Amino acid sequence: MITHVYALKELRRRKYRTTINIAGFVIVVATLVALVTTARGWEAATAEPLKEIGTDIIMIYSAPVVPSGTGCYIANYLFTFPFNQTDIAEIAKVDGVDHAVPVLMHRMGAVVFTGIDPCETETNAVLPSNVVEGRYLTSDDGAVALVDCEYAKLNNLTIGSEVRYMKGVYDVVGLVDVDAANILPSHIYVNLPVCQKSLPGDNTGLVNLALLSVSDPRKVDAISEELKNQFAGSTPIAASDLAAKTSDIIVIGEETAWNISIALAVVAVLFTVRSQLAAVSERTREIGILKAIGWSKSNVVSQIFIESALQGAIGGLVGCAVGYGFAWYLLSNMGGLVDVDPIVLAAGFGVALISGVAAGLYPSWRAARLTPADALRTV
Amino acid sequence: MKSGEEVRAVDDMDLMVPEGEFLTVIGASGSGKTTLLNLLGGLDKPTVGKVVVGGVEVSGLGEAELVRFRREKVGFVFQSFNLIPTLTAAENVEAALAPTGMAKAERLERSRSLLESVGLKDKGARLPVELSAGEQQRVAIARAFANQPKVLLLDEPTGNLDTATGKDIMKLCHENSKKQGQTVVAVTHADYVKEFTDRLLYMRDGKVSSAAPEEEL
Repeated sequence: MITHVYALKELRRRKYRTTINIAGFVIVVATLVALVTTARGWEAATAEPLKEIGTDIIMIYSAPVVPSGTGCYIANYLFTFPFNQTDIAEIAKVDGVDHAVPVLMHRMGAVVFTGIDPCETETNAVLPSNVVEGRYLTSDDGAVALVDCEYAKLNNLTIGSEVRYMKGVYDVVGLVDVDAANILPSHIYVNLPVCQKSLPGDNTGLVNLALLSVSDPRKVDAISEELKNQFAGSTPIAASDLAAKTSDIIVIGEETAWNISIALAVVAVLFTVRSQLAAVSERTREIGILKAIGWSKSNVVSQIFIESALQGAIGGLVGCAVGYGFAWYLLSNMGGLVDVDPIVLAAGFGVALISGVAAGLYPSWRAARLTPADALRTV
Repeated sequence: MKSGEEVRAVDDMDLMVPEGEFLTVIGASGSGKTTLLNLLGGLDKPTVGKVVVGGVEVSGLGEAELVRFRREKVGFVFQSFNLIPTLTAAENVEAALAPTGMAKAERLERSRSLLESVGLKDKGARLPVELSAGEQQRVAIARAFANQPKVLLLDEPTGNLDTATGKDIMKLCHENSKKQGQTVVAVTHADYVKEFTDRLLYMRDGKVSSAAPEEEL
């Protein structure tokens, strides 16, 4: 058939209308690709530092569960109350949880003091791999500390220096660089029992944070739900949740991105249907000629269909490029990770193509119904 | 044939056109000429009576058979050329071949040779708007001949042309149809068409007669 040649020429003939239709599809696809890519990029950027310390979920208590101990703001407005260290073993038993690691954090002014169990070397607030100078902690260590290298630089601390926190004095044995400090800011790390003893109040056997790794990261939401059910007052926070909780940037979820795009697609389809109906009406005589020279209803239908689908396909391709470009611009400025997901691009293109085809259904049916004699009588 | 409530565009007509004949029907505007061609070409159906072309009762054909009939058995040439404005001359001819399922290479070759046969060998890539009125009608003739139809229906083929060009067009139709043994029914009100016809009929108020009406005489 020459329908695709004819379709392209017809689209070129109606430049203004074609541009408007294609622009509609571009907006749909660009919105979808930009929102989904941005949401994923931001989520990945948030999850990346946590993954570096082997953490999929941070579990805190948003309400008091024990009468004493030290709570802490772990991020801007996110306060965690203390809970029994023995709960950690129970948390580790929840289906899907691989590791559960106790952490006690305390903040005084801008400085955060963190107690860790140095035996946990796969999931922890700081890992041996984060040590850039000196050594990691051992379970036998007493008044010794690891210090964040930025904090050490600001305070002229080196290996062998003494670092003070409240009334405690600790020998610096290692300098560490932890990306996760962007999310879980900490400056001084000591052994958990040392931390528990040095903080004000009775913190014996208490922690205020559990870092969890899961066996299947795709099940993070289900595991979080299960944790919430089993441990009353607890708040399991996945990486993506943390992004929303710790930043002022509004993060649009992937589901919302899809919903917005589908709503826009419906509007684009309606506009294109209207536009294609007008095109069919203008071309009534042409359709009559084609029928007079032997085109069947299905030939006419495919002609109008191809025109709609072509507009959708062009809009889809341009929309993918525009959406990806926009996501790249946003994430570059927000510090997110830009990742091209062929599935998102294919989905965006598919939405445009399906919308284009859907927009051609009614107009092509109208065109096919025309009798050749009536169509030819049209001036 | 009823058109609307009361008007009978073609009324009480009993017309037989032998195979290979070039018949010309002359009549004024509104006399029913185009309706007659639409009936013969399967574009319209009579409310009463029947139309038989090449032994096939056209008026009784279903949609699919009618499409095949229009595609294979008849070729139309219209007064206003009726070319698709966005397609080139060659593509306009190809448009008639496309629904037959013919391979692209064969279609291209056939449209090239058809354009050559109407004297437009080098104008296949031109758009209708880039051609003169006479050339556009030649493209329309090439398109009408594309599927080697048994019947050629000419609806005022010279209506938009000057006399010299009109005569050229009629000569072209006449020669090609005789070469291919086609039956031609031409409706017109151009007097010079008489030169190219085997039989002349006059049409008035939906009726045909072999005698010219008084005003024609």
